[in-house]
Amino acid sequence: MTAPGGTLKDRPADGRVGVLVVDDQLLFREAAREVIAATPGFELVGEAVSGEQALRAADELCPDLILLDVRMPGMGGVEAAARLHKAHPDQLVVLISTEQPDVVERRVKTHDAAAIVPKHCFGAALLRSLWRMYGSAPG
Amino acid sequence: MADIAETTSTRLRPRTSTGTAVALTGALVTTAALWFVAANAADEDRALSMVTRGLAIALPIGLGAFRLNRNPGDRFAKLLVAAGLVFSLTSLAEADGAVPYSIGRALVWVVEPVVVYLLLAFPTGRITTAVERRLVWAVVLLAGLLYLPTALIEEGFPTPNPWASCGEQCPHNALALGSAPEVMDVVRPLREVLSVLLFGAVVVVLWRRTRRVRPMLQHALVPVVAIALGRVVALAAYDVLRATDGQSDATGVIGWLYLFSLPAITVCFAIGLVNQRVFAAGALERLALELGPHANAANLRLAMAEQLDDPELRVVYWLPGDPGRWIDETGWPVKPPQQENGQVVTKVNDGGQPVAAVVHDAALAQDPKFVEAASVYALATLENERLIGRLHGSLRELAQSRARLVAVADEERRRIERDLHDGAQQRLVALRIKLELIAERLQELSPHDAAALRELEDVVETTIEQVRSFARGIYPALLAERGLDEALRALARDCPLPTAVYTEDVERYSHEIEATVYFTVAEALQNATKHARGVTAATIHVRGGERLEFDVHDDGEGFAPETAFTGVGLVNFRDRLEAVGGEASVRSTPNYGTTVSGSIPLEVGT
Repeated sequence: MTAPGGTLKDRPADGRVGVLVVDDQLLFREAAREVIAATPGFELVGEAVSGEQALRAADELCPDLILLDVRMPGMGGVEAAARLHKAHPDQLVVLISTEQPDVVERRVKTHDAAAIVPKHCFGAALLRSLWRMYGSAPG
Repeated sequence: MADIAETTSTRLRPRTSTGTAVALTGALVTTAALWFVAANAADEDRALSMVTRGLAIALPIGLGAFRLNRNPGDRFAKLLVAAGLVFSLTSLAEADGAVPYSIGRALVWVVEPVVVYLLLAFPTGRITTAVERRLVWAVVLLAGLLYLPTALIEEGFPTPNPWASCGEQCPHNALALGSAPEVMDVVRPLREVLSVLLFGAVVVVLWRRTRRVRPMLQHALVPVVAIALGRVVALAAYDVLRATDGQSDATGVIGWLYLFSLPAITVCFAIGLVNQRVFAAGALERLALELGPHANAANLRLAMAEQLDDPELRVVYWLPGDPGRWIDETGWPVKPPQQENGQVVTKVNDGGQPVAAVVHDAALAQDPKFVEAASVYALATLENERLIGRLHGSLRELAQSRARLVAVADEERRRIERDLHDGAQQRLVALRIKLELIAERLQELSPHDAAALRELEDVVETTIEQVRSFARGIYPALLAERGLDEALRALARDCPLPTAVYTEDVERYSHEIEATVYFTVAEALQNATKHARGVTAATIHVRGGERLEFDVHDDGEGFAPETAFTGVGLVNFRDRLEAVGGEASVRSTPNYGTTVSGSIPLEVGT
């Protein structure tokens, strides 16, 4: 099943955390897919390759957690985060970037994204701690 | 320009030795005439007669030779030479022998038509108007009907006569066939009155022409009118005095004056021609001033028309090609320039090839050198302007190509940075994530292997950081995405030197401008960090507005101003700024640090 917002996966009904991965880089999406699949309690609900796709996917797939790359063609992660926050304040948005977090941090309003994490640090441990820290009170 | 300067008018033939040959002939003829006068003239008048005749012969031939030397086709010069030769024959009137004396006396009557023709043909050598032509014919008829034939019916020529120093004791008329004193009593006063009237008419015609012609010719004609008037007055006075008292001193003096008027005419021709050249020089000078350093084809035509006093003057240009064609100053094709409707053509050639042609009033053609000089000068100015235009064009192209080089270099930097970001960085990131994934799986099964993998993760992480830093150095992603303000702040944060950034009205600009300012500031900071001594802090100021201005100041020891712009970095800095039309400066004061400043004009839309 596909949605205009991106590649769609069945929404888990067992209370697992639905994750939307947004990045134009296939390599990262593949790696993220593996990490999420290998992390109990988390389920990949969809993927998007741009900010615009992310907005549509967030509407249709209602993910709990959105991993959003900062640098993408078209609408970048910073603007998408602001819009997502406005549209779905209940969804947890985490910005990921190859830049140093402090460089990104200056450009993001504090409430738009829960966290900014270096891309290469992404892993099961980070996913779990992110959900533990922000999951109960997203935004 | 050398080619233009060498240009010659095709109307002029190459300089020949005609002038020299004429001058030599003139010298021989004058010497022979003087010898003849010296041998024959009456003692008391010998010296005066020699001087008068010598000048009357030598001056016109000399002036003619001088002008022929400049222009072998000069018709007036040829007339002058011919007149000099005719005048030389009147020396026979000094002969003691009746036959040469009679021939000499008869030839004196030919002098006057020649003088009239010369006066009216000055300075072109041509009789142009019908009135002038009729006048010449009238004088010729007068000489042919009332003077020359009387040689056959008079026993003696009228005496005294300024052309013969024999006074009242002259040889008899060897040409006389008979005597008709009753006819002569009528003819003599009639022809004298007619002569004065006709010469007076010549003066009037010349005077009217002087008022009609262009200033340049006016300057030439005035002395000629003056001498013609003086001569007719002298002639009238002489006739009256001779009729009343032929022996008086006054008659003798006026006679000599009349004779002297002959060489004086040549002197006046010379003065007129000099006047004309002085006027031409003035006109050229005014032309030069009027054209100034930046002439174009339109104001060139106007300036030439005004200074050459020919409102109809046109300049047409030869457009080389296959086939080439003539165009006017607006680039419109025109028919080939040709002589018509009182206009003549002075062509300007460059190395045998036509460049342009000036179509002007035929009156100007009497001084082709002047028209040629004016044309060559004007075209040289135009050529200069064209060359300057071409130079400006080249400089503009150079600046544009420099800007293009900078733009291409910036684009290349951005491409490399993107490739690094999308390629190596992403692979390393994926590698790091997958290593962590495997390490996590192995954690329980084989903690030792997991630890080894995590060590590898550290290596990958270091590599990621290095690639990122390298990519940012090549072209900071932040600059492309967020602009100067943020990119410079990030630059300042990364700088080992404490650096403050102040910005004012800084917006987004073209890639070229943003990259120029960013890399210039980066380079200045790097210089301050690496090379300047005693630096503890730096500040970056950037101001937007009509120009984007920036300076980078450090508090180091500074350096002597003369060493400014010697380092490769500083030269690069200036080159980079100039490529986007900006300016650069470096101020350094010992103990007060160094300030690198740049200013870039901002056009709407950058």
